[in-house]
Amino acid sequence: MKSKVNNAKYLFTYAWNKCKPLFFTTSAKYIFSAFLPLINIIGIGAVVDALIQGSNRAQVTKIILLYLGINLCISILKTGITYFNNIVTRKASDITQLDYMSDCIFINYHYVEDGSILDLKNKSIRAHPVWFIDSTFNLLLYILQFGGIFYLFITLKPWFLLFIGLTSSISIFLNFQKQKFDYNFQNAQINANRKLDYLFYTMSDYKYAKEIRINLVDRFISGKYASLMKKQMSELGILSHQNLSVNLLVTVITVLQTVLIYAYFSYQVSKGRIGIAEYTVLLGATTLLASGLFGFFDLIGKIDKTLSYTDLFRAYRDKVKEYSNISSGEYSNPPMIHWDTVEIEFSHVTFSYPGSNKNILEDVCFKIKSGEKIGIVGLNGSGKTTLIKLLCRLYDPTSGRILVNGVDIRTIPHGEYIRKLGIVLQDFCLFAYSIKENIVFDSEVHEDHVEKVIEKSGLSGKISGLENGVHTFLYKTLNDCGIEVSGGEGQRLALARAMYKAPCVMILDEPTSTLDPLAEYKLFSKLSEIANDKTTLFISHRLSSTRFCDRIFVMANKGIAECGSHDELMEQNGIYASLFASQAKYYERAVNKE
Amino acid sequence: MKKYNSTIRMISKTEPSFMIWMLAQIIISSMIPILTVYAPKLIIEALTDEKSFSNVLRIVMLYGVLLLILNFINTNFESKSKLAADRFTKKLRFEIGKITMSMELSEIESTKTAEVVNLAKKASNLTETLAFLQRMISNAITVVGLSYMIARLDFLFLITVLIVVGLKSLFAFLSFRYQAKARLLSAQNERVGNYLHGIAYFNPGGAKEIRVGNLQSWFMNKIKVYRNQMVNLQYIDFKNTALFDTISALAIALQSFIVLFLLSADYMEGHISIADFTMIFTAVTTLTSSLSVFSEQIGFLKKQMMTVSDYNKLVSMHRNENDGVTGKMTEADIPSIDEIVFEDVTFNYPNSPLPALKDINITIKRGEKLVIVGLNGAGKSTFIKLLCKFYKPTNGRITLNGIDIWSIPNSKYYLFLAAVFQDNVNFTFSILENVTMSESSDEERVSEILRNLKMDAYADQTQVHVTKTFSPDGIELSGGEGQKLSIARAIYKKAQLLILDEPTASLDAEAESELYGDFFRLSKNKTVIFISHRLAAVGVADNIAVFDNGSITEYGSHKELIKQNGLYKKMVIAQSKPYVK
Repeated sequence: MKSKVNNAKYLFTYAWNKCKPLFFTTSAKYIFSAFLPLINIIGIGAVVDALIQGSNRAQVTKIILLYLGINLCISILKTGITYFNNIVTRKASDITQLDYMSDCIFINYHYVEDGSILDLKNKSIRAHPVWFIDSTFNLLLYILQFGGIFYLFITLKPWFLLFIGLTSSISIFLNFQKQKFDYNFQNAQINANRKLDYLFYTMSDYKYAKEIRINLVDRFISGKYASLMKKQMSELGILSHQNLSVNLLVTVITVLQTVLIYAYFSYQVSKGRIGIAEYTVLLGATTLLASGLFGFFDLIGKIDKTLSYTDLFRAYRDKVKEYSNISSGEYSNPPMIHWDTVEIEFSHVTFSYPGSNKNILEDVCFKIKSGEKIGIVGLNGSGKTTLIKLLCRLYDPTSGRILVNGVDIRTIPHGEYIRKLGIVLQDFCLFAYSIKENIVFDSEVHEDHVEKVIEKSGLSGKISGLENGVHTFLYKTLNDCGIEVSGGEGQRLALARAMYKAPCVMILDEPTSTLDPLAEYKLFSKLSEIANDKTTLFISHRLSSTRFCDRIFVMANKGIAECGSHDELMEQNGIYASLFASQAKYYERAVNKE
Repeated sequence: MKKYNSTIRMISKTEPSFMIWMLAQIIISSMIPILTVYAPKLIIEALTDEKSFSNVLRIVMLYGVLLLILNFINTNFESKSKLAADRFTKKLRFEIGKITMSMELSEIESTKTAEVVNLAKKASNLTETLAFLQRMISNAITVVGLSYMIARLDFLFLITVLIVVGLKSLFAFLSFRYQAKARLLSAQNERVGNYLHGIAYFNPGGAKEIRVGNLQSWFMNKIKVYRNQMVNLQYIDFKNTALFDTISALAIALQSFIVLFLLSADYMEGHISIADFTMIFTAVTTLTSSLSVFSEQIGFLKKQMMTVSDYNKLVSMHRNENDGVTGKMTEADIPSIDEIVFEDVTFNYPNSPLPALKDINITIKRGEKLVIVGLNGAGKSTFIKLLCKFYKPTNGRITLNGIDIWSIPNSKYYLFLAAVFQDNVNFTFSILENVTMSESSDEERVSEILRNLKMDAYADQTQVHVTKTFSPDGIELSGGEGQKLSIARAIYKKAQLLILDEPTASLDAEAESELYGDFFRLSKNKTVIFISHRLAAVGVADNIAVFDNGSITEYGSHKELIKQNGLYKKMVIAQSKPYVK
């Protein structure tokens, strides 16, 4: 209970901080809505009363006009307030939506694909603060209505009110039971639905299309879908059965209540205790009371449910905050760094992925001098990409430090640090906006600089052939005239993007994997021009390319096993030499065949 | 009307029980409001006629029993139809999935089809539409019943109601037309929203780029622009609603005044009893609200029905195996691949003026190892796509043992070949399922293949899931491992023709050289077509085809091509220079 009160306070504070007007418009809306049904009941009663009393036409008309006049005024007021409330509510929920979006932009990269966080997010949405505020104020409506009804009943026996309360409370109790079933079920259902959605996605998305066709696996996947669906439907069937019995009980109670209300009031009329006019008013009021009580407790049940989901909402918020430390950490006094020269040092860096205790890197130490070009080679899974991920702050080291000009990169504000790096990822991503926007994004536009990086990356030929030049959109997702780019062109564009930042450090993860041999050779021979004599790290599977670097790091056994220039490493006759030999073998053979 | 027909047909085909429950519910739920209007009149009449209490009680009890029965049935039906609706949705999605799986790849890859598929996906919301339709029909029946009750007493009342509702409907129609315009705008905006959401939530590549590119503010700004536009559109909607509600309030006040005035006059003149008075008034109120909802619903339904035609469009794209067949479908069994021949094959991508391939002539013999090299964009991948029957040649034909491949059923043809594509994907299933792609599997063989591919770590735990999405102890495969898994799948298939489209892009040097060795060892007696940027692979090739600008410009063994002194030699020199002193 205490935690629920706490949760309520939490949601209130959250909503209050995000959108204060929401509180005023919502309460106003419900206050006005509360009176309308009461006015209708009393108004029509008054008309009937006047008729039975035998009032003349003028009097009756006056009552009708009064009743409808009040009704109209309140209706119009309510409409106006609802209009404002809609706008405010929309704005408020927009703010929460934006929060969710920014969460997934700022959360540490590792958690982007974490199913448990996604689950938590989906569940936490059920504790929507805006909805919570709305429902809480909706309670106000019922309380006001109850007050009005109670006033009408003052003349009658209180035990009758007790009777309505009792029958209503039974159906209310049953309704709570029903909601409990729902809550448990929905939680179980989310996971199952996700699986079904994935299968649907696999079936219908073009990404899997080739694989499905060539392997003739449509039956296999259909079979999976069918069996999962069957399982889910039988689970759903059980729940629906439970729900049905509760619902039927509620129906019985409600009808019983109706019958007893009619019987009681009819009895009162036949005894001459109340007139027909009162009879209609009281019947209306009782129906309103019964449905009001039901609505009131139904709402309380829903609010209660929201409050239980609030635990998840808070857990989600806390987790997101905890997991977003890399890009939204706070920097009390950021160090001054001169970026003219950049020295990078790994000092005893050990890393394992969060939640895993298998070290990917162990006690890695090295220094890179300013302006040096470092090639990183190694077997698959030797940690090359992980090393880059650490340097790009997609992850922080588990222990040890990464220093730039002697400063721990974790103490440098994330944005400032990242701005200094030009990065081309192996699985780079282009956005469905114009070529220019893909290069510049929201940084300052310098046309000649854009032109220069396009030229350097070898894209000028392609772009000059386009009708709209750099303003051409990529893909047809957002623009029907968008163009598709090949893997090689994409990689060049990613390179242009990195260069545009005029970075102090250049990091390239397999920059030539999709380029043909001539293009690759050209790119590497231009490497120093591309890197602009800045410190450069690049991963390559092709050892030939490492000839262009000052030093080569050979990664093996969770660290850097060998380090040196090509000639030095060949002399060492270690891993590098054997790797080189295994690749060269083919080329030698190829050339020897001549 | 055709739409409604096809909807009904669609439901009866997919989930007939849904139809039955819906129909039953329509009848029951339309009777309840009529009963609740009519019964109180009888009770009041009995009371004003000063009948004995036991008489009144009898009417009350009868009312209660009827109400109980109707509600009881209604609740039952509701729960049944809800369940049926859920099943229907799932089945419909299943259908859509199956249809897309049956379509040709060229269709899947066209943006036009993608649009149809996307729109059809929305058809799975059809149950909402139908629940809506159901409410509408019940509403209509209620309207008829109430109208009859009112008209029997005084026709004038009905006319008042109809005028007011007519006014309201007119306004609803006007605002609907306006909203349709707004909806078009919001659909365009939605496209942006879906795209942005896709990047934020389900796209690890995008997520990485945003982080390392410091694009958070850029991205958030895109989201804000999109959301603002959406919100602004909704504000217009709110304004419309407010205006509409105000006018409705005025109309209803007017109507209530007329009805109450006429009713009280009738009563004072002794035409009607007080029981009639209350009944008519309630009936008019109920009728007005039913009718108003009704007129609003019609507009909405019209829009919802669009999804049905979208779905039908997709259904019309369902492909049978015989579709697209050239000539007569071959019945003959094909025991093995003896020869694959491209005869004057030319291919244009749809809407592209320039051919991606022109006049390709090549013969691939059984057991041959063919390597295809060429610059980016030379048509290498297109060549593979044609061979995989993903696209049909614009001109010329491809034959297998002399039979046009387009007259061989897919179920037969694809047994012959296995392919690893450049953009290989793996499924969020277990390692085992990823390799075997079937229910029944030879686990030992899978382990052996994995070991042969140096994936020992997974050879003994083939039940482990790929990615953590559905299994907390799932594994994340690196790029190279993912590729090896695809290769394992291709090898497991025991196909006679293996196609590898640049399989080594994300493999390291040692793995690459091993892979060549392993792969050619594993495929000793098989025909292999290999696309590679890395000329290292040519060592084991029987023939090399050099693609340039959509044609095969050089063809022959390595030795022959070096002698030709053409593009091939240039490429070899560029690539081997660093290795060979």
